Amino acid sequence: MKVSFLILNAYGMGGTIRATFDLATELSDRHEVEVISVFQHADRPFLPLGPKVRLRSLVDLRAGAKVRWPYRKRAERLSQEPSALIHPEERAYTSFTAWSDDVLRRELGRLRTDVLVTTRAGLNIMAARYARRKVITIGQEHLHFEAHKPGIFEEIRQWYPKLDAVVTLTEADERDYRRMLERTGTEVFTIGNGLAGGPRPRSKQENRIILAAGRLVPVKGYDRLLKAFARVAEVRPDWRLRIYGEGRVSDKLVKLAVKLRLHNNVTFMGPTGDIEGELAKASIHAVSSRFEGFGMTIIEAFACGVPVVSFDCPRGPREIITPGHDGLLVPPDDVDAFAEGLLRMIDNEEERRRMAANALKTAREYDISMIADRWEDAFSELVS
Amino acid sequence: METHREVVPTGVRRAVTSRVEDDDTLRIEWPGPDDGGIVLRHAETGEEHPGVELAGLAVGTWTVCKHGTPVVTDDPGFSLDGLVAYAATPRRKEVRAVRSSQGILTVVVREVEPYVEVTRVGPEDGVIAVEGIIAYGEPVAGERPAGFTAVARKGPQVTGAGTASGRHFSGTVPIGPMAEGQTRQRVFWDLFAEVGGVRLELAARLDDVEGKKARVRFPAQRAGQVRVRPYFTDTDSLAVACTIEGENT
Repeated sequence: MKVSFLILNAYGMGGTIRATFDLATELSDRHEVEVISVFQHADRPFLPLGPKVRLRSLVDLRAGAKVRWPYRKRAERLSQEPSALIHPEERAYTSFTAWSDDVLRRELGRLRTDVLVTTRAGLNIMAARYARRKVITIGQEHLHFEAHKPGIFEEIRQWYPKLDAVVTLTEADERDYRRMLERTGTEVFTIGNGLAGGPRPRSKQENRIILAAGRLVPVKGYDRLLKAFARVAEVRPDWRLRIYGEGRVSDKLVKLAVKLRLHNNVTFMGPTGDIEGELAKASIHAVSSRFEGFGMTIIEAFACGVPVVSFDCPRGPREIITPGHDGLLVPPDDVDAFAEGLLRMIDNEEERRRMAANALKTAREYDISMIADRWEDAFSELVS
Repeated sequence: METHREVVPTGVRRAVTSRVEDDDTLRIEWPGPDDGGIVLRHAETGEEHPGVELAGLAVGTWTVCKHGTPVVTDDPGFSLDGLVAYAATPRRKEVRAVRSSQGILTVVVREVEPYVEVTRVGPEDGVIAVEGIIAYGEPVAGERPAGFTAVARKGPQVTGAGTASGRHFSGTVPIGPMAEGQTRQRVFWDLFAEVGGVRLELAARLDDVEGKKARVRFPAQRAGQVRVRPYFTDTDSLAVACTIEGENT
């Protein structure tokens, strides 16, 4: 079977790219697999991709890139014009141009493959509109159902029924898409992201460190984490909070930490290339997000033997964490409850160690080979 | 956040624990029986050192190998409490086990001087209060007064007061005299403890956090027109910046 993944830009870094690469790599032991990147701005991908996966791009953005005859003039002209096929509310709209519309439509019209997996709303819609009928089209949704703005949502409603299947990250999203796709013949599957890379460093639960990681943006709720942690530090001043990542609210958070007088307890660690190594030094992973589309960091923490305290925010955490077993879920937006959750983890070391051991077991369910099996099941169901 | 994938081949035996003990031996625990064969290789010079006795190793990073291949470990290599305990022994060289981002076990050797490891900074009520523990130096018997001074770079010095008890040090220095008469836009002050007649630097190094200057931010106090803020320097030493507040700040 030949499986093609279509992705916006395979040469950057980000959750979707990583998930796609890991899955493509795993599937390449079983099938002929290619990743098609709409754009290419670097010579090589930043993230690792298995050697058996073919990678190619459609629009070359590198300096000095040449367009094949007879398209050169056309490319020059259309590259200056905005995209007409991608909805302006698609989050990556500004990346697309009339030229990428042109290239993409041509590619989809001639792509000979058995399964085409597209990885974001704009590309899902393009596949629904222009992929050859013989190709099984699967639109993957890394965003949650309600994250789409009304305009693009109308297009989703109009075009997703032409896809063979939609794959969501959470069961909550599966329910929403099922409702939308009722009586259309489009299947909906939930398949989470898989954890690749084999064995991992493991926490010995010996450092009084709480770790949080992710971009420093409002949705991650680090302001609330700092407030909750301030209560923790009052009673457990020997515990420390390490926040990894960078982002636009970085200054604000540093100021808040100063205001809360957390200077002896909080460290803004910046970005890391080895989050697993850092997790292994910690004892608790804190997820303070207002929204978490899936929650890959929860699984990464589990895989390093670190239990999680998380807000019960939509949508991922509650589908991954079993409260009291491998982590704790606290009511969303309740800073006091979050502080209590952290203190429970801190003060009940035996319970924490038990949860850490369970977390390792939970992580195994997300092993990339298990996730690839579920994709294969979906493929077979769609083929028959 | 992206992770750095380990590049080691699968199927390789991985160390469960890899720590440097107080007596500078490397303790490696394996899932099965240990068949020895540990050799350390200096990353720069290529010099080889057989065995797990680490005393006398040259400064630098050593890759730990077993039967010719680098040891892969699942242990971050240290605990914060372990680093504090290790620093209780007077030493001139510090040896740490460190797991690289590729999962390889390395041993890092550094020269050290006795200093005070800062555990707590309290910039409030017109003073800068510091608590810490003596690292790599001799502890004091009983409790006794200790010196605590702030020394302006190319400038005067302000005397505070401190106490040392065993490994513990605490001290305060008033910010008023530091700010008084400041004419330059910005003056930097280094802090020192004096325990048993020995001048000790104040710093925060018994952890794995690099570049604390950008990672830790202390609250500022005001003394007249001067904003007084402790900070960590490029070498993770504790210092104080006094800045005259004006239209340009």
